[in-house]
Amino acid sequence: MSARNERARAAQFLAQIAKSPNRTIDWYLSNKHLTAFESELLHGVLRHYFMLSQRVNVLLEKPLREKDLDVFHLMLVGAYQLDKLRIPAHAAVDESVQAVMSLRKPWAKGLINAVMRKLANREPIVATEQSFEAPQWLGESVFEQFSNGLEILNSLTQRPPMCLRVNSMKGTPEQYTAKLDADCQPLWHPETLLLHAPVPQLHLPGYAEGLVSVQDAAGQWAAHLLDVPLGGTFLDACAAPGGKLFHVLEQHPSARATAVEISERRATVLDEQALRLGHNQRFTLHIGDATSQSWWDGALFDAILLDAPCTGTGTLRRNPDIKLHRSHEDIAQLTSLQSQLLANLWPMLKAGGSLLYCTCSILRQENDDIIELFLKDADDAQLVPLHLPTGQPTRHGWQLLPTDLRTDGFYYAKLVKAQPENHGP
Amino acid sequence: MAILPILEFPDPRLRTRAKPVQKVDGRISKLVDDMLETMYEAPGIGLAATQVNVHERVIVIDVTESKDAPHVFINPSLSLSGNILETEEGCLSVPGFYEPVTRHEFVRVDALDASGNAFSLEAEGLLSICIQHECDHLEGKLFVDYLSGLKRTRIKKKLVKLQKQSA
Repeated sequence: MSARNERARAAQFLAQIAKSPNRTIDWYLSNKHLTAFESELLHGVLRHYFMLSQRVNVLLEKPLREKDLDVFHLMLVGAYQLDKLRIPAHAAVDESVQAVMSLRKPWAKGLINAVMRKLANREPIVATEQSFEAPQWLGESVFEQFSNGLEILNSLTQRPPMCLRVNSMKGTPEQYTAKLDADCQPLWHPETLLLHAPVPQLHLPGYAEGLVSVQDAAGQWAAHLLDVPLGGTFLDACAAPGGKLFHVLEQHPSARATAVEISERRATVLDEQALRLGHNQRFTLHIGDATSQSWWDGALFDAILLDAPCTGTGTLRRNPDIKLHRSHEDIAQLTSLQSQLLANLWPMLKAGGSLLYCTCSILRQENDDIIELFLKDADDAQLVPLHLPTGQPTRHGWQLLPTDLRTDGFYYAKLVKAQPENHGP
Repeated sequence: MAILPILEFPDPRLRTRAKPVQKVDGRISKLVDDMLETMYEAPGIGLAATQVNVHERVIVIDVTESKDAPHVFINPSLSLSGNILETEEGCLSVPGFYEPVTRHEFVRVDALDASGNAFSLEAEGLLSICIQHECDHLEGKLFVDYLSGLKRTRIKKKLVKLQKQSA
């Protein structure tokens, strides 16, 4: 039996990811039995894709053919090992040559050998404002919006933090910390535990029993910013996979929730998680479109959480394939959807109730611009100023930034619905 | 010690059923040494005598990265238990192809060691899968036999083409 060549497999998968927008890292994680090292190579190469590609491209006399994209990506894997994993040059060269044999492309042996040797003798490329770790469209937006754009883009190439949320219905954070065999510290909220080093989800004690969930600290602000009155109702309009919904339920044991999710497959994931956490009796789930009102029974909600679909640019550390898959055109499509969602849900909110809008994007187009456009037409909407301990205020809300390495990039804005004016006697 | 040539699919000799080893003698210990060297050099994590065109029931395995824990099984017999698990397997006789195959989670193997002493071992994880994979070789069976006919034919075509190129 031969052990699979992990570098060759990583190169094949990377070539497929580069070619096909529906091949995400998550897809490989759930379908391809990735080893820890393969997962490291996939994430690492994609995080540094633009600098590594540039480094390899200057050494190629002509670009490789489309069907040899695996060989090109094997060079990126090699460059990543040299630059970021600090693997000795001779080992990286030998292993790349072995991997190319395992790709069944013996003709490329000499080529990969030559490229790897040259890479080993040259310094890694350092990102600048002209040449950075992101596609052009994203880089331009970030530089236009932030004075520290380069720092933001660089922070998105780091390894992501891992953060837990203790299920307060099943125990206290102290009880959980005592069970957990890993260093961690509470971050901003007692139930939010930041791990000092990542732990595989399945190794978390009590995970199957629902004692804990994995959720980034940025997203854990939602449950604290959403105003749910005692015994009140709330709507989570784009609910799957359910982290924020469950967190609100955990914070407000008296609350009743309605959840809407458009994708049946993702709704199944949400259901499984609800069962694991013991929240399955506490909300009504509609598989439906939150830009329509077909699923709505007409009862107004005390609070609405709109975690809108977005480019995910705040989560590039976790989902670095976004850099290859998203394009400038996606922004226009997503912003139109975000505005539709907001306009459609607003009438479902009680007077005096509040709506929390959030995205895991760092782009103004999906954040402040959406709120600004909405406020132009909605006379009964007022902004509530937010103040969080990290990130920065924006014109209408708050932007969490990935430069704080403890969180993803994330945006919040809170709107309250004015009470109707009293015309009575 | 010597590095032995490894037969490649679809070589019909891989379909031979191996005979039990009658006596663990100097000839067998030399075979074991050569097979270990061949396996490490390939590099592989397991090798059956069938693959080096010796049709006797001998397999060698080392699933460690440090390559310092060789197992030798002569005349192995298996009992299987546990759940059915799917992992991706590859084979030195089917170079470069890795496909999902289902196997039992646990295996208990009774065999002779390189000195001819009887022993038994219970294995799980990669070692368990590798033992099952190598014992298949002794029956003339390959992991591609578990795949769909379409996949197997595609692999066969590609390998034949590569074998012609390097011949």
